[in-house]
Amino acid sequence: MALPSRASPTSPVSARFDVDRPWGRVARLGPALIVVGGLTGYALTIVVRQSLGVGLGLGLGAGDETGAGAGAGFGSGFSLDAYRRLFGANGFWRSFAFTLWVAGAATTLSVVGAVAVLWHWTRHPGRARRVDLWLMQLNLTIPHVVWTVALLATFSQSGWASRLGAALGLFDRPAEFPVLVRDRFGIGIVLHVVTKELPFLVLAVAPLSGRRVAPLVRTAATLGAAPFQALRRIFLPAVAPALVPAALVAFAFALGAFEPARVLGVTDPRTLAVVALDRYRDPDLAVRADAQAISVVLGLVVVVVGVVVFTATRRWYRRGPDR
Amino acid sequence: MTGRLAWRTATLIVLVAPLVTLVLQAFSTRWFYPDAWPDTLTTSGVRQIGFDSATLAALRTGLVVSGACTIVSCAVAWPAARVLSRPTFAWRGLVLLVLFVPTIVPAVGLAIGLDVALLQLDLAGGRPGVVLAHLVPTLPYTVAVLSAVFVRHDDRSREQAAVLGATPWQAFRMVTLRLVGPGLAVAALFTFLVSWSQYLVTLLVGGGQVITITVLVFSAVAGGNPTSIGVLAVIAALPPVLVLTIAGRTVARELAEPA
Repeated sequence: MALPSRASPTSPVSARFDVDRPWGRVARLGPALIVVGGLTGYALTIVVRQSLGVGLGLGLGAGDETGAGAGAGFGSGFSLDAYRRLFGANGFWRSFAFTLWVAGAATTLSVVGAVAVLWHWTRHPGRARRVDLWLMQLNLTIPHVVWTVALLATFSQSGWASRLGAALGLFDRPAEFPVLVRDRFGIGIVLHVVTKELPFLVLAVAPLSGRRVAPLVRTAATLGAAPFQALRRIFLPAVAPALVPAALVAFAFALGAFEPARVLGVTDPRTLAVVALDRYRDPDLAVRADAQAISVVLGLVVVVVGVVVFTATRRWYRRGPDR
Repeated sequence: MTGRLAWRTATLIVLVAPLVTLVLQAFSTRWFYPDAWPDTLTTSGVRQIGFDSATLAALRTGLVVSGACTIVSCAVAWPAARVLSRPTFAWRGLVLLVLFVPTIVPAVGLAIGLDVALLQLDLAGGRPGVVLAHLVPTLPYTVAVLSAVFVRHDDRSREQAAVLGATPWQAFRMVTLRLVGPGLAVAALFTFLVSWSQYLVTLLVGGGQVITITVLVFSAVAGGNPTSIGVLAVIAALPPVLVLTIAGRTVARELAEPA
């Protein structure tokens, strides 16, 4: 007969490493924090330092025949050259504006669309939602590369949509089909981000809005709230804690997404993600600093937008319902 | 009623049609404008490109890398998620913030940074390095899903098993794993999906040595042959779609809010 004492709470070593004791927690959280925090921190430190011209030869050790000599002593001095070069170049601001436009438009459309879908589901529960949920889950599983290729094949000027249109007699030549991908305005990239991020936002918020928020909205309606009042005063504040961080993730994705920008974008203007990768793969080490500077700029955009959004949300909460 | 029809049409065009296009491309070799449907459907593209040695090698590499990443990610996330799910743990917000930093770093900067970091650590250019690099984007999701699972799972049932004389291993195998199993499967599924779809990190950290199917699809785009693009893209989409079809219901249940 086994004794309860075998189950270990009394043994001193395992007691110290119990999940509720400090050392137990450190031991359990340590590996995850080291891998994610440590590696990300190290990577981001290198990016910032290299953008300032420090340690540009990093990583070009013995294994790299082409870069070994150049790498060893290269770029040891601190300088703002990369930023000066970047901000001085005309192309940078064009790409910067284009990137902000694409990411901003795509995130706004995704958030508005996701709220519309969730709000509709809240007001009309149990309506053919299973199919929609399944389609969105399916969409979430498709790798970005595959989805980008699929959008190109469907919405390019000679794509399937154009062919179906031709069969219906809408167009005679590919050139008559509207330029939806590989267009100057980044519609193709926005299309990719919205079709991937709208389902992501819906799936991230749906559990919360379904179980906890729907009863509140029904109560508000019973108490005489108009639909718009219930949306503004009950639904949005209730889903915001899940929606706002998810929207920030979507925005960061849109800013730094490479695959759709390369495949569905044009060469001029290019998004900063595409420019950064080109500079990073340039054989000239000095150009590498430009790539890192672009990464830093993109990171700062996320930080600024994040701070603004979270502050605004907090204020909105504090102010309470306006009369 | 018209609203629902419009919604259904829109979702079909935007979410389903692109996938159908890929399948049609994969099963046709000469599909010219303005034919709305390929002249003949053939499996010759699938047979040639799908069973090409490079494709099979890339498929194998992708499965090995993402499989290894899933196992390591779950093993590392499990203990962390247990701590995060404790109601008495005061640092939950801070730890989650640190773990979620990679999800708000623009992907291009993260990929470049990880590449230099792993080059510096002499880990780039091989599968272990790629697996390690994939952990950065996957772990936040693994931890998030697992801690949601642990919040619902009552740790006292394990203690009860212990009181009834179960060894720790027995308690783990016969109680904890039975309760947490479906949630663990969902966490593994998510991890696999995130890892499987990594392109930039694999390309840079792998340094051209680690070619997964996802990387292969992208290089096929440059080649421009619609059939090979279609075949490779369908192959790349197949494992995630298969897993979801099998596990879809468990996913929905496990991701629901605790009642």
